[in-house]
Amino acid sequence: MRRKGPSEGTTWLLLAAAAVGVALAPFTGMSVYLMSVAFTVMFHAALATGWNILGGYAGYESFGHAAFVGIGAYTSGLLLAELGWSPLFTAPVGALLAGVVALAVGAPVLRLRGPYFALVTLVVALAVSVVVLNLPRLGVAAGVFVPRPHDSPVMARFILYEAMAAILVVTVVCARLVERSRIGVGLRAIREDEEVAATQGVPTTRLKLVAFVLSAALAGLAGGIFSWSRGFLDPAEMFSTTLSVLVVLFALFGGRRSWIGPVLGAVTVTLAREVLFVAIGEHAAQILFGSLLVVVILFMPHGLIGPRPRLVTDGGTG
Amino acid sequence: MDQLLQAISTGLLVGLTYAGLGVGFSLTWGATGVINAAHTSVAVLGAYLGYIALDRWGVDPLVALVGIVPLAFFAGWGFFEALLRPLKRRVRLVGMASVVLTLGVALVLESLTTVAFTADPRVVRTGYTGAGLALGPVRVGGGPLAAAVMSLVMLAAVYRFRQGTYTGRALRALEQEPEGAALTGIDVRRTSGIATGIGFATAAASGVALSLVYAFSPTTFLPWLVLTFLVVILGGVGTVLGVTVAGLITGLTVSVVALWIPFAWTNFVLFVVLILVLLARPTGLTTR
Repeated sequence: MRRKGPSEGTTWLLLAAAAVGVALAPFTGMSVYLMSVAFTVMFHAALATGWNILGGYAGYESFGHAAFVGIGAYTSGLLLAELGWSPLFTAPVGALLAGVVALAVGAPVLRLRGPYFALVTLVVALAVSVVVLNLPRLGVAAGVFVPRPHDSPVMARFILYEAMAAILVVTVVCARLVERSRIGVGLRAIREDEEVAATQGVPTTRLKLVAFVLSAALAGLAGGIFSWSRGFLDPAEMFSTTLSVLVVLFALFGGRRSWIGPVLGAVTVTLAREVLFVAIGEHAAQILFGSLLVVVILFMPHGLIGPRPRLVTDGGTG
Repeated sequence: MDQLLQAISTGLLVGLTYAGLGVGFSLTWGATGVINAAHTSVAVLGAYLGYIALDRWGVDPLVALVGIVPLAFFAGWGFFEALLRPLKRRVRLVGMASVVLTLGVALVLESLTTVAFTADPRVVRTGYTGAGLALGPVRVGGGPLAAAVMSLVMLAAVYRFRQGTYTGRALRALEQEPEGAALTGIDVRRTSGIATGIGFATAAASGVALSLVYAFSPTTFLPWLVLTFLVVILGGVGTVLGVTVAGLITGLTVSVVALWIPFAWTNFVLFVVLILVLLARPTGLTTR
């Protein structure tokens, strides 16, 4: 897997430097507003990068990623509201739970291909949200209040910022490790041609499941911190279909070949949405945003990072 | 027992309406490979047009279909020429790319309808939506009955079109083997345009039908889209009969299951049914 460009060690060093930079940024006197925008950007970047492990490398595009965010969000949110345990420690529990659900759901769902997989993941995400919202005794459908991280709003934002920055770093490291491993090679072989990959001895079923579980667990991790930041478990927000769609868009917009694409896509699209929302209002922003989707898919179907190297010749029809 | 009969009859009626909503989506997917996530946005637009016809001019929404259906048909054909054909020329796997493109269109339409009609839910009230027929122990509402009859006529028309006309058979050829169809001299571009037009026309007409049964608003496109996915994945791509059966199963499941379990869980049962079916038949109930 040796490629041209900076060596493996240099890249890790650059990544570490970037991570330290992100972690130290609040000490330059960021306002609460800027920290909260940065929080959302990092949340989206983490989700898109995690989604890309299955959606980008293997080409299995899920439209139900928010289900795993919701599982993590409710796990950590409820543990905090009921027992007072900090999401800093319970986020991994949410990740574990999201991973277990992905394992159970993945076995049947990953047998489906292309659009069938996309549509069914959307439906499964809705099913998961129905279950969570109707679980007896929790009464969560009505919403649950989650205590803030800190009494001071500045400290609260700071804690959330650093927690999400840590999750983004963990996600990027996972994605990059997968990219550079045998698993990554196998996943890309699945994307190119699953039948051929299977006949060449790639354990396709197992690899897809590993990628799906990892991707779900990372979403659960981010979800735990996300619900902490909202102060309230709103089912529509924690299991938002819009969020599932946005995550796909981030990865598509940035490019799905490596982890850089989803991060870049999440940063640009989230900031653009934020600016549009403030500048021209909700409806105008959504109209412009929807049109942007159309333009992006028509004129740069491979995203900002550019086309991936063609491993098989393109026998495109019509 | 009476309750069960009532649930079955309601389920069959709304099931036909669900089938009507799904049939055009399935047909466009089969012929062009495009998954039109804006399908139910068109349905919502159709519902609004029917509502306006009644509210402004006192024209019954079902009569207004005379104008709405051709309008939607040509809008769909234009949609194919303007966006879908360029997309098909640019990307290798049109399925996923089309989901993203049409989701963008759906978002635009949602905002436009909100600006034009506000977010308030609308209900269509005509002379027959309030009336009802008593058949023995079963009471059939006028709204669901009118919607079901309209949908049945539409399903039959689409079926006849596919079996009995040249263009209909060309469409089926396109579903089976696009390149082979082109080689036999079928005009792929025109046939695909017509398929998309039929998709839009049936969507708009189904929107009118659904507006006789349910309240709707600009955000209604999402629950209707989920319903469409369910029916089409269950029924299969490019099959009128499959989609009709799937629509009936969906309608029956929802209304019969609601007798025993809380309403909130009915959708969950539906999702489980879908997953079980897909386990057995990964590409739908009736696919070859």
